[in-house]
Amino acid sequence: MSSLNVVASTPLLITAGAATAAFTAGLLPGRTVRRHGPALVGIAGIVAAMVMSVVLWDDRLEAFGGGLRADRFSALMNLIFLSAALLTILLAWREPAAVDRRGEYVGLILVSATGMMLVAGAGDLITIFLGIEVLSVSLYVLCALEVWREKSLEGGLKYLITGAVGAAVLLYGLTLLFGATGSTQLSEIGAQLRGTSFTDEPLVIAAMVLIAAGLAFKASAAPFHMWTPDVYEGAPTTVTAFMATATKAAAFAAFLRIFSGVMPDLQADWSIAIGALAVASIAVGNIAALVQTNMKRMLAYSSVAQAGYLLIGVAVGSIQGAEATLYYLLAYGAMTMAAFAIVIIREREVEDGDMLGALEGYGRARPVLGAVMTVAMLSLAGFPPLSGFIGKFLLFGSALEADMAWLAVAGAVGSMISLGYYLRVVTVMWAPGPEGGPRKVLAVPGPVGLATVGAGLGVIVISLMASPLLDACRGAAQSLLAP
Amino acid sequence: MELSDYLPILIYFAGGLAVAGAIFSLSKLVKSKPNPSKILPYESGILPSTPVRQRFSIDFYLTAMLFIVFDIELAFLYPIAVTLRDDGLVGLVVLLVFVFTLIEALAYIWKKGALEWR
Repeated sequence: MSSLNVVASTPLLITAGAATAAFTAGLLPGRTVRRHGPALVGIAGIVAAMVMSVVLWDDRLEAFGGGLRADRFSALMNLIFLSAALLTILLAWREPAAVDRRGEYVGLILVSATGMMLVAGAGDLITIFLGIEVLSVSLYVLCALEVWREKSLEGGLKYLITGAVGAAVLLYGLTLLFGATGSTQLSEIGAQLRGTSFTDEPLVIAAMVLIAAGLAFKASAAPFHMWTPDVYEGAPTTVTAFMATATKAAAFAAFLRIFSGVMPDLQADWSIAIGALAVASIAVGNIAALVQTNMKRMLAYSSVAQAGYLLIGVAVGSIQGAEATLYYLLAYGAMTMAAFAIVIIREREVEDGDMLGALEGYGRARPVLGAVMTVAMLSLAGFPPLSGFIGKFLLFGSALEADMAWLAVAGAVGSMISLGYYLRVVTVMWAPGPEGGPRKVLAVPGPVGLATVGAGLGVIVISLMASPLLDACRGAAQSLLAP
Repeated sequence: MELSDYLPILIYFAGGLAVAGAIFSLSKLVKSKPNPSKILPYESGILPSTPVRQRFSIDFYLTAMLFIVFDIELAFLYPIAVTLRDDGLVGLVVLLVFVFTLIEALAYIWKKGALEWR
């Protein structure tokens, strides 16, 4: 019990407590409390957890006998998860999925964020698996929250089945890693594997392959991406936005913790496997996105491609690679959230709001929303000087530096293909549009507008403040790779 | 850990395969010849009047799941009870946090009407 260090786990405890409070607030008597209580409790908890993560920035603490760490890496990842959760709760204001189940919606988002923070701060294989399960189980429910829509149920079921397979594969890998080293502690495993190579440890090869496959399910990297378009299309769009940003970031946190953090000496061997995943994701995601007419499906394939770019930084295995991945995760979170925010707003106005056609001429009727979408799309496509460009530049640069030019070439070709579908959205938005303007336009609720503009500004701020942010990312990468 | 340390597991695995294989192959070899009357469900010699597979109300599953939650709570409480004297106040607080979370869950499902039998 002496190693039970509560300070290191405060961000997690706060979000878990806020989740419990949000569930309760949704049941209290009184209409106003029931309607606004959960969201307010949730936002307060998220802000408090963010403050605690910033406070813990300079510390290196261990809690629960080394099972949980608080270092710069976990602090930075916590901020990504919590910002995504905050924007999701704001975007879900008056969302049909969230209105009559407000407590559940906010509570489950917070529980999921808690699981992600558990993954990012994991110091133990058990903690990693526990975190992955906590975040997945709450997302299975969230996907099927619009029970009156058949597609929502279908998405939830598909996510449950593929997610369970992914978790089983991951667990198998973690078990083999435990079998090969005799410890579940990441630091202990790292010490055991130092100076070894895969030829000495056949079990570790099998463990590495299974762990990479299991995490690729969660990160929706090809060829483990099959569920992504259906689930992203079926789930309530706010939940999709949360999955596309935060869940992906959590999967990458696990990738970095296990591969870069624990097996740096085996990097020459696993970098080829991860690099192959990256190239496959870039190719499949970008080519499949070209033919999509549904915005949610297009963004799903785009997120597969983006996972490929992010994997480049993991495959490189160096501090530069991890730093670039972390910076790109920040940028990716902001631009994907901004793109989904526009889809969420349009979906409320017209029946087929998630189709590309529904956005025709929308930029002219709603210049601010049009500008946000344009910034998001240009940044996703990697236009300088936006944050997407800086992130890709760093990722491809780290690949060149590590003599893995083939990864940089694949990324550059993929980015070129991606112009085809990102720019199409921009053209459609600013086109003259149908007679009499876009069919129907509703007032945007304040919190939704705030979140949308906030995400759009986030893309620009992340590129303007690139140098302090990159210092932070480097600090996080160093705390991960040089323990 | 050496790979050879896992030899007992391999032997156990091989033993399991051998037993399962023996059961299946024996039942293939010495199986009786079925006919329509033989494969009917046995109901004391009377012809079955209703379909054998009955549907259960979803409420049973809900009750079973709630049972498992509180069953697992007990499974956790026993080990804590054994070491509570050594853990002192910290252990007690941790225990109370855990129990409170489950009480809150009970209040939640009660309010949601999951305890009503429909």
